[in-house]
Amino acid sequence: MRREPVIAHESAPRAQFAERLEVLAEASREFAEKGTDPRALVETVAAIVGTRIGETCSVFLIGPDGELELTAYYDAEPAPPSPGDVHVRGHAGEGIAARVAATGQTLFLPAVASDLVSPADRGHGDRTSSLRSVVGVPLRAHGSVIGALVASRHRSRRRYTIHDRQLLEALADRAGVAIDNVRLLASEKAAREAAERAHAETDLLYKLTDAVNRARSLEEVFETSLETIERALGIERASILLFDADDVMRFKAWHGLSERYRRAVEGHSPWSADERNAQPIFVADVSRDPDLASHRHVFEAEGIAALAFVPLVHESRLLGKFMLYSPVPRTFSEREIAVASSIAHQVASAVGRKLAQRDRDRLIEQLSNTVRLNELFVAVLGHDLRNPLGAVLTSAQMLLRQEHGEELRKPLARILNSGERMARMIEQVLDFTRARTAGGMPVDRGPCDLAAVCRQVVSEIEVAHAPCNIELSERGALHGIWDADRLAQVASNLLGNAVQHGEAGGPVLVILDGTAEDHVSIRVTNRGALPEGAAATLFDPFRGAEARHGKAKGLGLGLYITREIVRAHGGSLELEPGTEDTTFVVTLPRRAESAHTRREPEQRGT
Amino acid sequence: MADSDLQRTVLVVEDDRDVRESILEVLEDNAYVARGARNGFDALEQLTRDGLRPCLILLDVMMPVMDGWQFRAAQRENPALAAIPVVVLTAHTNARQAAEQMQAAGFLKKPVRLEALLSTVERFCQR
Repeated sequence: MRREPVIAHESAPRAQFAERLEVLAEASREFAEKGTDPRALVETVAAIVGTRIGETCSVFLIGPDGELELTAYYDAEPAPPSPGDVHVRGHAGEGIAARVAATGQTLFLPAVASDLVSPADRGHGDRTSSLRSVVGVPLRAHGSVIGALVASRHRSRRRYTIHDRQLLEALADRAGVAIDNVRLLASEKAAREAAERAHAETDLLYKLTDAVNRARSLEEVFETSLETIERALGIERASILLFDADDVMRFKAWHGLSERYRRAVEGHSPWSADERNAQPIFVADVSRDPDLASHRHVFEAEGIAALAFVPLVHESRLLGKFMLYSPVPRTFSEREIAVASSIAHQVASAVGRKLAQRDRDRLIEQLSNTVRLNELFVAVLGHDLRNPLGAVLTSAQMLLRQEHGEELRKPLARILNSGERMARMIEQVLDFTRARTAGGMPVDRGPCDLAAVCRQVVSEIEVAHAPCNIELSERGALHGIWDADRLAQVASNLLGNAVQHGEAGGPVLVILDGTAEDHVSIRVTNRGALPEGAAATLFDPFRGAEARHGKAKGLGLGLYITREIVRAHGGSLELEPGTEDTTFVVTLPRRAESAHTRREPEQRGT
Repeated sequence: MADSDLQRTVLVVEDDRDVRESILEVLEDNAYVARGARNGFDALEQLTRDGLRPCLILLDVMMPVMDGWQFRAAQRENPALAAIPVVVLTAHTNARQAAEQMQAAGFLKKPVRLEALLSTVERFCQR
């Protein structure tokens, strides 16, 4: 900045120099002390000028909007306050300051001629009208004008000297830098605070997201959301409302609202349920909002002065609203609106997800009930079909035992064969429903000789599927605690499949291995590979039939039931598919610990 | 009814008429005297009121009015009837266990196979 030599006019140069040093030293000290508070610093500047140079000092600073503002004023001998005084002060020297700020030049008017003082400087009171001497100097920082310092005398007839002007310029020099520094500090502090606030909000939102995701019920989601929004916005009352099945907004959760209030406003909504573009509505003062006039007395009674309606929207569907309440008129800042919207978004997602989940659960329950009912129906039907079928079979068997010609024997044999096939299918369906509804296939265990069971089954299959080639080999001890009838079913199914689906005439190998101490195994191998892709669904109920390309005559339940019986014995049934042959391996623990033990009859069956 | 008739009389207690009649026919076809009862109560009436003393009772389990369990309880309480052997007709998965619990002499799984029916009856009755 421009420096002028110190030239003394009215007092001895040395004394003036010493005084200037002293004033500047005092100013530096004071500025350092007030170094963090912009307002205190500016007032200090005004006070030093007012006391050391006199009589009054106005500090004008250019605000963020570019307007010059009177920031501090000091009068060494303040006049008693009079109406309009503040107004006068607010404008004193404004014209001079504006000129100084605009030109960046000192305006030095030791003897004020009335025509040089603008109406703005003259003001409306006695003080500016009696302006006698004035000096305005620019306040600079980094070469830019940031304001103006105006010293003026009204009472004293003393005129400002060059010395005063130089002192004021030197003070302005230091004050400009000090003000700029303190402003920088203040803006840094504000930025830091904003960052901390943003961090705290992010943290709150993160915690909300986490809590909402963990929540087991919608009630938990509501409670967490209310707490979060109250903390984020520093409010004490909030509520969440959702549309019910009749599209009426209903309170779901609230803090600090009376029942009377809830009853009075429930159902009121700025949006209808089919609104597609609901935006938040902020009412800074409910007493001035014409839309809320009908409920004004309700708000007054509840002590609500300001309101915010934040829509809860999930996948473009309006679910309800988040309400915020303030006991005093309040304008919500953009930041608060953003926070409220974020929280509302979280709540809406959680509500949307939970509602979808509820719908899914309900649907699954309905489907499960339908499936259970179907299985029960099948079980009852299967059960009741057995009696008439039993009568058919008994009668056919009886007739077959009597002497008849070939023309009667053939159809009787057909009735018997078909009836027996039907009976087997009914047994399979009943086994299937038992396995699915009674918590697993029931088995009745006792001491059992696997070799004897398998020999019997082999001989039966050989009769039923003659001619066929079954090679049975036995190794080790083949005793265990099993359900002999059920194991016969397992062997019969595996052997029957092998004979029917293996290569015609190819041997079926059955290896019973009892060499291990704790378990035995049955390997049934037939020639010929499984059709491609059949293995994946082979054990699925009703699927095996499809996989065998309609070759099967049954329901495709055989392997499913077989595996269920093996599992009920605590064992496993595995398929070992090969390119040349197909092997099923049953592994049975000799004495199962985990699977179903001998059961009580679950009902008094027929 | 002559003693010889009693030695070869079988009482079939079964609520399903077709099943009951087909069994009766089989038995009669094999030179037994066969009597049918629609349920436990009907059977008990024939035993107590008519004084029927069969060599064997073939007893269904699930029946209206009086089921097999209730019939067995009443039969065992009556000293005159308690000794008549009972074979249970059942489709129950654990038929053997059910028969044991009813303290029956045996069981026949439904649908009843002819050979099994005749060999069982043969064990208790004479033709």
